[in-house]
Amino acid sequence: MSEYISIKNLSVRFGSVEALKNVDLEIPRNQITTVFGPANSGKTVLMRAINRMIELSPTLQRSGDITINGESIFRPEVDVAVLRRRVSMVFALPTPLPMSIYENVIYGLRLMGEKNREKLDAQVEYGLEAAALWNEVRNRLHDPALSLSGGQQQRLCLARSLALDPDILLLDAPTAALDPISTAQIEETMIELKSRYTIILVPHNFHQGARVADRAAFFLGGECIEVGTVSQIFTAPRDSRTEDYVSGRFG
Amino acid sequence: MSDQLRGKIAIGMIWAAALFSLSVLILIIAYILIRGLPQVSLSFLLESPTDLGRSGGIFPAILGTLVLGLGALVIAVPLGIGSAIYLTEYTYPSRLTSIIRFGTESLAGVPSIIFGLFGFIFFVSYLKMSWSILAGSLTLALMILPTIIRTAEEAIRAVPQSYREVSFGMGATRWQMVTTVVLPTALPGILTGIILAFGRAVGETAAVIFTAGTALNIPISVFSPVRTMAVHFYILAVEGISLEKAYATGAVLIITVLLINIGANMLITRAVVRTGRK
Amino acid sequence: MSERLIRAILLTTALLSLISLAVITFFIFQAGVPLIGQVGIAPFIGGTVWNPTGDPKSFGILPMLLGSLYLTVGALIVGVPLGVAVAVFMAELAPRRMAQIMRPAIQLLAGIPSVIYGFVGLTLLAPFVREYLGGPGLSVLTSAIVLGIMIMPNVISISEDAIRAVPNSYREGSLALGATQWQTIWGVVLPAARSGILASVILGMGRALGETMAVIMMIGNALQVPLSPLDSATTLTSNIGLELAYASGQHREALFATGVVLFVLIMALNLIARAVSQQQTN
Ligand SMILES: Nc1ncnc2c1ncn2[C@@H]1O[C@H](COP(=O)(O)OP(=O)(O)O)[C@@H](O)[C@H]1O
Ligand SMILES: [Mg+2]
Repeated sequence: MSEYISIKNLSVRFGSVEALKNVDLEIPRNQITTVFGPANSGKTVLMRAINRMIELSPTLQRSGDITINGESIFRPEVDVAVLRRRVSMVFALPTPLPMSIYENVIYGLRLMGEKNREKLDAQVEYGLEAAALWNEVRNRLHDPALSLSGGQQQRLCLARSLALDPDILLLDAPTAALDPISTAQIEETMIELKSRYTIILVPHNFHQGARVADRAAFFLGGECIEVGTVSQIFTAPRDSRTEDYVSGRFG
Repeated sequence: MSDQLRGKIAIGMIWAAALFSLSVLILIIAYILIRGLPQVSLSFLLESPTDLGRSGGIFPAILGTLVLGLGALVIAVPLGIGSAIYLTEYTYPSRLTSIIRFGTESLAGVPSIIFGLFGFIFFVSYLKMSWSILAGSLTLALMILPTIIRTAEEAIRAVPQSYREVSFGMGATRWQMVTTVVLPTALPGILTGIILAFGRAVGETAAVIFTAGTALNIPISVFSPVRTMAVHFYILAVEGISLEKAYATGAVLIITVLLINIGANMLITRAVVRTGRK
Repeated sequence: MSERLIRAILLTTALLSLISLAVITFFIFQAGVPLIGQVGIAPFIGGTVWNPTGDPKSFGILPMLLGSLYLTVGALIVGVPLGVAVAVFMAELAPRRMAQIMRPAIQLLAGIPSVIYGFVGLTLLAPFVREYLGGPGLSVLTSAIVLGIMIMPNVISISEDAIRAVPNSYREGSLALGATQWQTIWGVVLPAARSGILASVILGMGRALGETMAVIMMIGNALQVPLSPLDSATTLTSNIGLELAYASGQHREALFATGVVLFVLIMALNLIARAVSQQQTN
């Protein structure tokens, strides 16, 4: 198992709120790792630490380190713009921007200054294909993104990330606002995508984690309680708090 | 008198107040338009006045109004939007922002005659611009700046936070985030503020008359003095030059203000539609 | 362009309104304060004779100060009850469609240039006052009525916001106790919204105190202390507006000194309004 992302003794505070406490976590390449736990356990903060979005908070205090391929993402020479394109995030609620479908998909490329029409067209097709949306929208690429259904909007957001050729996908409860059919489609897409991307998934409930992920990490109160393969965590947890949670005794 | 009856009378009076305010509006508009419109013709709009305005048209005043108003916008809009962007996107509430806010609010409360005095002593005399388009536009710009800042700030704050998150998440710098997501989304609201500010500039007299002057010539440069419609209207009426022409000028002024308000309202509706779909 | 440069430029634009305020204050004071120094504060503010070009010269602004005071109070007497009533109407009583008509109408009322108001006062109301109430027509009363209507939109918009900000539970609680709609409005809603309403009154006061051109058109511009609402008068602003165009030397300085007095009064009102509306949010 090759450790790809490695989180070392990471602590994050916002003012007086301790969001993450001494988290150690290794995330292997080309697998889906699910980060699960009750609300406010620090899952979103962990995701936002990996692409340095937490730095948008004025009260942030951080200690510890995160490395990708052995190199710290906090080195001064790291360009956060490049990092965030390499480690791309999809949010819980579908968040299409108020522009056309096409413009949404090329949004990141446009920020990078890409103007070559063929390159843009190619990436739009690639992203929408990979997000399993191409066939539904190929004939209406210039319609407003807000005219899509909720499930389509979320796949558009996935396509927007994929069009940037990222290495890592951070999916923060991407199906939380979707119906069961759209949820199943997105789960299928995730499994297809893992051969090309390393995926970290905050599941919409832990059953989803069990269905699609290879590894699982249980978070509680900002701490990483236990990490292991999905089958180990969900069938034979070592920590009693994990066991309580997966057997439905709390949370 | 029973409580029931007293309540009915009070509520009746409130209805009366509301209807009164509507009738005042209709009365003012109807009064000016009925007396003024019959004398408004194409030649009134396109000809220069003669004999101090006793005869002829108001073309130089229309031109003066547009030039002065647009000049004020050219100066105040970039400053106002920049200021609003700074306050909403580039800083967190702090001592400095509350001092800046205090400055903006106080500026909004300064009466226009004070702007007139200031523009006269500073732009006209101290900076030797004399009565000119430049001095008038600068003075008006200071006067409308708070309106533009406040409306732009409101429009920018109404942009959903998730748009900013997405933009940063795709690797945008702060400025890219502002230009690609925030400003396009806030545009209808910002434009509404700009139009309302233009309306204020068009109707202003005290701040303009001592800075842009009262010349009735067609301006040839930014250093030319001009007379706006509002100033022309005021002079016609106060100096008793021609009540007829005053009504006609007033009618043109009222119609301009009506059009400005209709334009602003159309944009407000669009802004609601846009943010309502988020 | 680097982010740092952009931030610096934006900060500069944000500081500009503050800087403008400082520069405005500085230049008005610089032009006006020396004369107050020569004349003395008490003779300047308390003097009843304004004869800036005579021999001897005399710079007393009391008649204008009183004119401004009477006019402002008069405008408030007209504009505040009307404005608050309309605000109550829009926030509590108006049927949906009616409110949809009222809002742009009030906005338009606020957008009509003040010279138009002044003209209506001059040509429509003043002859009416002269005919039916007596006096010269161009008077404190005429001006106060028109100015009251002019400040009404300001009073309405801020009061309406304050009334809408009163939580619905207050109304429901009062109605549940058997109070009538009017008792609820008078006894519960208006008291809860009082600091917002007060702020609207203070801002309206500032607007009335500062209005110039419309007042010149309606008040008669007589340099006297008005003894009745039907008398002509002059105000701080109308006197500046009338005389600035031809004043020079000490006369001009005296007009700036009048501006200083006006500026100080307005700033005091702004500070009070700010304190009052902060009280509302706390
Ligand atoms: N930007 C922030 N500022 C202050 N507190 C935050 C911020 N982001 C998250 N928190 C706090 O950190 C804790 C963990 O939040 P989060 O990671 O969002 O939990 P979840 O596991 O539900 O995703 C919560 O108590 C939350 O209130
Ligand atoms: Mg979360």
